[in-house]
Amino acid sequence: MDQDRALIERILAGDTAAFTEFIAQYQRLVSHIVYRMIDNAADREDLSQEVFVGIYRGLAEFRFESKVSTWVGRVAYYRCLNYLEKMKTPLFEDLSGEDQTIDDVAGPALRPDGYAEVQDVAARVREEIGGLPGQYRVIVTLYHLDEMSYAEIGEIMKLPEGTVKSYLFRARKLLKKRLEAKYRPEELWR
Amino acid sequence: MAMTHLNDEQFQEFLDGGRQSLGERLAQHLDGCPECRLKVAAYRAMYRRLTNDAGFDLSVDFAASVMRRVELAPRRNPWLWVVYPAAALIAVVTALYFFVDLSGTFGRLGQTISSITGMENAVVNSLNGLLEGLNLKPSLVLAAGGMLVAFALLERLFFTLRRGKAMFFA
Ligand SMILES: [Zn+2]
Repeated sequence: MDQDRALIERILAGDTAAFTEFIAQYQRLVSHIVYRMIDNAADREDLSQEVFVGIYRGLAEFRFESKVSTWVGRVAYYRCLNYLEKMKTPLFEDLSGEDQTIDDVAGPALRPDGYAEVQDVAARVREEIGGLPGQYRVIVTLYHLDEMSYAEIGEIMKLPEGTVKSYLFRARKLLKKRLEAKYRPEELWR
Repeated sequence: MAMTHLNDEQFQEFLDGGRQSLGERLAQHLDGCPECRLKVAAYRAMYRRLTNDAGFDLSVDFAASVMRRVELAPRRNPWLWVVYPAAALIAVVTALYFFVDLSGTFGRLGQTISSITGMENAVVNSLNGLLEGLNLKPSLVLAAGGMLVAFALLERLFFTLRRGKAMFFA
């Protein structure tokens, strides 16, 4: 936290190298959120850049009331929501009902035993994550890749901690179900 | 194993929070139930995938691209609200000083201020004294100030136009 504060003070004093350092520190987090929320690959880079431009301009107003990472995450999340709104792509699917059933997303070709060939498990998992509702995708990513707590994720997405937890659990259950419906468990989970 | 198996939530609780998050009864069941252990293993494998997920690569010159955009979009400075209107005022005064003979007006204005404040020419004199001390002519200072201001405004206008954002004080 103190390191973050020192870094931000250097940026505000006009030290450009300090902002390059800041970008290096947080670009992973921003890319996680942007890539998970935006399907259009062509717009991801530009949006990620815009997130940092916005952060740079708002830096003087940051009051250290939350962790810098949470603030960066929130800027990225809301920038993406804004973009999706403009593109008229709803991120907020109705998540209030019970777990969705395994849907009929076009999957890989099936073998005679009814399962699909597992070539690259990582790629398959990634593809299935992409098929989850938007909020699930973001939560799973922030929790597992960025090691954020329910509270931090809740702060970014403006959701109660309990909701974050229940979405996370439902997301993983759904993901596992969908994967196991398509691939042989013993090949998938080798 | 008379007891029912663990459910999906409990597998996840176990992997997120360890044995203690399950409670003793469930933990003991898990120890002795091959079926549940297999399911935990599958969840664990999936967790590993989620933690090692990749494919979020931004371009190699990402930071440089951001820096370029940031240079075109100067950080909002609260002082701009004071500096630019003040600068504009000085610019106008400078222009008037050079192109319009307003000595009469200024003379009357000076008299009015003097009579109101009762300070006679104390302020004007001390200012002139300072400038003379620095060996500068008042008109020269005004001209230099005016040029600086004009430059600042043009630069500002140029960047705001290029960014396609609001004209001033964006
Ligand atoms: Zn069991």
